[in-house]
Amino acid sequence: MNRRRFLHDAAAAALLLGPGLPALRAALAGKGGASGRSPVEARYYRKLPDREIECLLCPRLCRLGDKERGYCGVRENVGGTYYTLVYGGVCSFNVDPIEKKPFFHFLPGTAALSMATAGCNVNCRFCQNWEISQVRPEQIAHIEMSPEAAAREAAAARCPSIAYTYSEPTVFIEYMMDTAEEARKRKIRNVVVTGGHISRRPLEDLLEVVDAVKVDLKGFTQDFYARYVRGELDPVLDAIRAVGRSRIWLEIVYLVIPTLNDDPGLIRKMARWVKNEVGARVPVHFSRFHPMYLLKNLPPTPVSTLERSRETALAEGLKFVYVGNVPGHPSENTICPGCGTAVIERSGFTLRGLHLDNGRCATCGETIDGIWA
Amino acid sequence: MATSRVVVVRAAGARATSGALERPVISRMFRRGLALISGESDEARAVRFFFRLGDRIGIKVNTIGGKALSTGPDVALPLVECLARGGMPAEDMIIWDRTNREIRDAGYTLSPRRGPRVFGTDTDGVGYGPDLVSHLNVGSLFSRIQTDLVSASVSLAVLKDHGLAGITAGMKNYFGAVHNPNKYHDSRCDPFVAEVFDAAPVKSKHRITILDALVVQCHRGPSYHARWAEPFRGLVFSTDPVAADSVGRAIVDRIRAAKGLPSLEEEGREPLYLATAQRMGLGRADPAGIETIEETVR
Amino acid sequence: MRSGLPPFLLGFLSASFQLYLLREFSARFYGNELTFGLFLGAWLLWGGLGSLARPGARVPSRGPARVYALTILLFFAALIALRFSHRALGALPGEMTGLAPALAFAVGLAMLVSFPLGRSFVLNSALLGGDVPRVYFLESVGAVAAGLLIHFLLVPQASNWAGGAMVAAAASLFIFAGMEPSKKRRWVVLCTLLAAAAAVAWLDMPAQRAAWKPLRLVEAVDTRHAKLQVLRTAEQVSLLANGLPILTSPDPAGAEEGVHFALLQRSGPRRVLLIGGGACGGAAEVLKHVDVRLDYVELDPRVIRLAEGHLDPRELEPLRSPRTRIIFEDGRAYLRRTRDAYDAVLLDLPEPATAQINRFYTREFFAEVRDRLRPGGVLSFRVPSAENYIGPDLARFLAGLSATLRAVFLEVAAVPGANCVFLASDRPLSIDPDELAEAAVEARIESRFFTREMLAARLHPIRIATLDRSIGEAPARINRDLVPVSYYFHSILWAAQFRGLEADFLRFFARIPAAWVLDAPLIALALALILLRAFGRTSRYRVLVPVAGMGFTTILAEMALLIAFQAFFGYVYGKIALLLTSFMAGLVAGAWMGRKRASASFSDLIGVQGGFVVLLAVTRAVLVRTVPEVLPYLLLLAFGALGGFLFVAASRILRGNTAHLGLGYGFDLIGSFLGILAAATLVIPLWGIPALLSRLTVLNSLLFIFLATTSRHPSQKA
Repeated sequence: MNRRRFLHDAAAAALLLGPGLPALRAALAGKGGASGRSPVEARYYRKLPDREIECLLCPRLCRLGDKERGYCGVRENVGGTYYTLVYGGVCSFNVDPIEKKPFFHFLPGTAALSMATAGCNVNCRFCQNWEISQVRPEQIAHIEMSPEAAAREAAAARCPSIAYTYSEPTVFIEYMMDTAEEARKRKIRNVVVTGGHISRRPLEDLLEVVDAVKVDLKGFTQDFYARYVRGELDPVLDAIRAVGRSRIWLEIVYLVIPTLNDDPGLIRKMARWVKNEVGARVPVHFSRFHPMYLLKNLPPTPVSTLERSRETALAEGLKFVYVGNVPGHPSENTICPGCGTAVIERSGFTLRGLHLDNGRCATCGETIDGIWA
Repeated sequence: MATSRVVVVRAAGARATSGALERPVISRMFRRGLALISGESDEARAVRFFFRLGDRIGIKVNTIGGKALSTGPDVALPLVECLARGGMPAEDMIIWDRTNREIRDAGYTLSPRRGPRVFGTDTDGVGYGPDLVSHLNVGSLFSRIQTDLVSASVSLAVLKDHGLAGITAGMKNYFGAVHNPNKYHDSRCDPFVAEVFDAAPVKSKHRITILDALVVQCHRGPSYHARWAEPFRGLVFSTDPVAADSVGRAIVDRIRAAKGLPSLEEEGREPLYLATAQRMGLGRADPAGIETIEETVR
Repeated sequence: MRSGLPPFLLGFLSASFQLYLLREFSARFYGNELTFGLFLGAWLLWGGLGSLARPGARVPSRGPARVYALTILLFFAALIALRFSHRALGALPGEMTGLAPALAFAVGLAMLVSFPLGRSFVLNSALLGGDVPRVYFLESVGAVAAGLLIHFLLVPQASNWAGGAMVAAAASLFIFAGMEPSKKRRWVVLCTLLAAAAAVAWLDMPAQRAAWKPLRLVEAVDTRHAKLQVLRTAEQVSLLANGLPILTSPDPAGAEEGVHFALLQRSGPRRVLLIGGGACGGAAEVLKHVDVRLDYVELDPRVIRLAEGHLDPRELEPLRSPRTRIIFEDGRAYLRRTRDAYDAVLLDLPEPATAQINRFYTREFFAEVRDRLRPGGVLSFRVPSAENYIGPDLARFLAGLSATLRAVFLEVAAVPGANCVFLASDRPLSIDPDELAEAAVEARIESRFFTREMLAARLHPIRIATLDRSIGEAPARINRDLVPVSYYFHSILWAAQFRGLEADFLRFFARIPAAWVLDAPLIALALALILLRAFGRTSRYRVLVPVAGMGFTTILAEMALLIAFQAFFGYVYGKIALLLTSFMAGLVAGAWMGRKRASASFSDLIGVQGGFVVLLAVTRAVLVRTVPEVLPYLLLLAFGALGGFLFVAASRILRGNTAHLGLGYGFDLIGSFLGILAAATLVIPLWGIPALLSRLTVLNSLLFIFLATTSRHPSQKA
């Protein structure tokens, strides 16, 4: 080991083993697994006769008898009371650039403390994180981290935001909301990366405590949602509409999968819908698919398909349209709709230029929507 | 396709009025049921009809319903004894389900080492296999008990009403063998019940379905409600997993009718998975193709 | 038919059908060499069972022409079934299928073709008045002829289907000539066969296209080394070898991580060796380092030619650069041959899922690389990993590779990410994002991923610590040429899409001590032989045990040699015809020697048995390190010769006891099939070829002792 490597490791060790990061230290010491914490009662459900309950968190509206769990696998009816099993059980924990989520109009160039618990309320056949999203909490290693500890870790890692991501944060909404409130006390912001399968009321409550939401719109037909997502399209559109009409910042990602959801007519319809329902200034990212999970047989998306989709959306009048998962692609830049200059120049997670003046284009003064500071 | 045989053995004495189960009676019920299915009156030969010497038999019980509504030790242990009398060493049998907690709650004493072994998939060092089994609409990790530890599998399942699937019986019992059963309750569990069963770890090892219909929850299942729990005092046997469940469904409907409840179909909850399973060639669902033998033992 | 022709034709058809089916089979199941064993074993089993099926009481009045004609049609059917096997399995094209379907198809296809051929062996024997040795000899000669024809003429010129069709058409003419001229039906037979052959030859491409739908297959070619297929999705081209993707283009920035982590370790690299994947942009990335001269080694020239035909010309520029030298050779052969020293050796290969690829991830290979690295030089390769959660099996896979590297290099580093990039060197390595970013600026590398921010995101201390901990805590086994434990990993990673059982089976055995599988059966055999010696020494049939043992040995040794050949040289697929032909030639020679002897005696058997012991011991002794390429051929020849001699001697000694010979033969075949199954799925992956050969040596020594000590009481009156 050379000296620089040693210093590097020592720095990492200091970061990890310092007093501010107890949970992570425990994680790296190999702890995890079952915990002694008492279960936390779930929000958003109603009790029915005979110890049954109905979960109101997401549009599935799982109706559960005693000892049953919802579709997500992380919420359980115990004797007529509904509990979340993932409160504070963090299974994936990283510091990522905010652009990786991706958010392109939200504190560009900063890092987000990114975390997830087990579980998801859909089952996409192309899931990138199926090892954590499609399992029950007891099936994978995790660390215990209270909302307060999570907020503290974000501060210690100098992250101006916490991202709830990787799996599906809707299923750990209680933990997410409590953490978000703790984070706010420390002036740390909160961003949610979701598939949008969430009911109206929990979503409204969530929007009270977070600052930005990215919705993965996985297709634009109910058939696609039924076959490849095992979910419903309409509730996702409702959720996008609700976020778009709130004061919370919204971005949309559309994962383009060759032959399955890449039809130009469909892309046009989707772009039109976005424009009409949430406005032309909501950023839309067309992301490149890589063979994954149960869809290993398809080739990755050709870049030209992404470019064509982007052009279709621009032609429909959307103002901020990006090509995603192709680092270095020119369409990662944010173009001012007023004068056409690149106001934010990106290459992957690298910010090459930021020509904004108080949220306005430095060249022509046009407002560039987003949260910039 | 030949008809499938399903045997329903009933015994008035199987369950005392106190609710206690009578093991000697249940033992006789097993003996009779296996004999009728195999066509062998000799117990050892009947057992050998289903298993080979050296088989490690997994008995998948359903313990999610707690003490009141699970295949408990009073049913599973007489089966173990019956198989043991037939020459299968009890040492090589595993009574299992998803979690140790549920197994304990159903009244078993855990025995992870001494046979018949009794333990859950969540036992240290067991767990779910690392390989994603991708089969039709199913993408799951299977319990290592099903994939590694047993060579032959018995579905010893509680027969009960199920709000989503219609009924839960022998086939759906194997939902307890995958890591993500919660993902398979969509569209009334169809086609998932049939497809989980059709996946190699289950289909290649399943030998016989035995439904515990001693007490049948005929309505508002799958959880226990004393009001709808009918002491049917029966066990249902078949080597055809679909036919067994189809007869189970008929029993549930029969009890519902006696209680003045509409049939599952009238409630729009008929078990769709049965027809799917028949289409997939897993067995017979239509009553016309099933020969049901009902017997009473003392 | 002339009396010598039918047996010759039998061998000719049998060998060519076997070779072509094997090539197609292997291409279909990802070139995994274990499938060779499955297929050869199944072939042997069905051939044997076919020859056991009694031909009926009366001697057939007609020659085997009808059976041959039927077999040709069945062979075509087998080719078609294999091509559309994805459909049959309910899998999508390109979706991975596992060893269990491979076994099922091996058994099924072999039954279609090998069973009738085996049956015609009996017909032929009957026609030649029961002179089994003569039939055997002629058949083997036919097989050698087919092997040479296919290896030298057909494989370089024609696709598998076209070659198979040509062989079948030629055989059809012989069959026609051999049928009684008076029969009118013979014209019908000839025309049917020729039409079928023509259809198969023409329909090769359309059938491949149909099998790949809905994906678009634009070109396919069977080279000596692989079945290469080109798929196109819009502007994107994917090249597959034996069903495994080896190249996707354009692959924006995909090649960067495979190159720059290594080249940025030291300033001013000058000589770089790239093994595989250069057409995919790796070469372009290497050439971004201005002073570098690149040697790019690619086994199959057709890969480059296909790339030239389908890739955007800009993508190909790096290959035409004066700074690039393309060498068409096996990567390991080149490393051993060259005297050049390199600043970096980069692998751009699929993950170690077959022996052909695994040999680039073994301790022996890493040592060969180390010997060709300049002081401070770096080896780098990448394997699929996971970004956000590393499960226990992935950890074990990565830990195995890491441990294998550490067995050779002083310094090893692992870069976290969706692909895990391994770096190894004898001097310190750095994966500090700032250092790497600085080095990239200094070297003026324009890239997408090697910027400060991208590197910082990928190499965040938390991610590095998580990966290091996963690797550090997982149990690790070292991967070696002849103990390819990556097959074990492969059963876990590649098998993720299997239907589950076979991997579980492997995992189960992986927990059992080797002795239970390897040594306990030998002890049991020794005890059985002692009992047989004590109580059954006067039995006429005691000789069956050694005969069966030697048959079993022959097939297992053949398979061990094929896999060792693959581990050493990496192109079994290209040389399979020649390798099997050497074995067949050995059979010819052995059978010929056997027939020359006036009469067969017990001492012949003892001699053959002794020969097996010696040959196995020699094989075991020489297969410790890379051998000259000719050696596996010679060893196969020798095993063939012993096998051929044994067959002739045994069938003479036991003549008159055909029923029991049949019984012994049947046991031998089933035993051999199970043996090869066990060797392919368990013994070789988990404990390696040397362990297998040692046990075979002991087995044959036991049989030798048994034979030697019972022969003084000959009960044989023949």
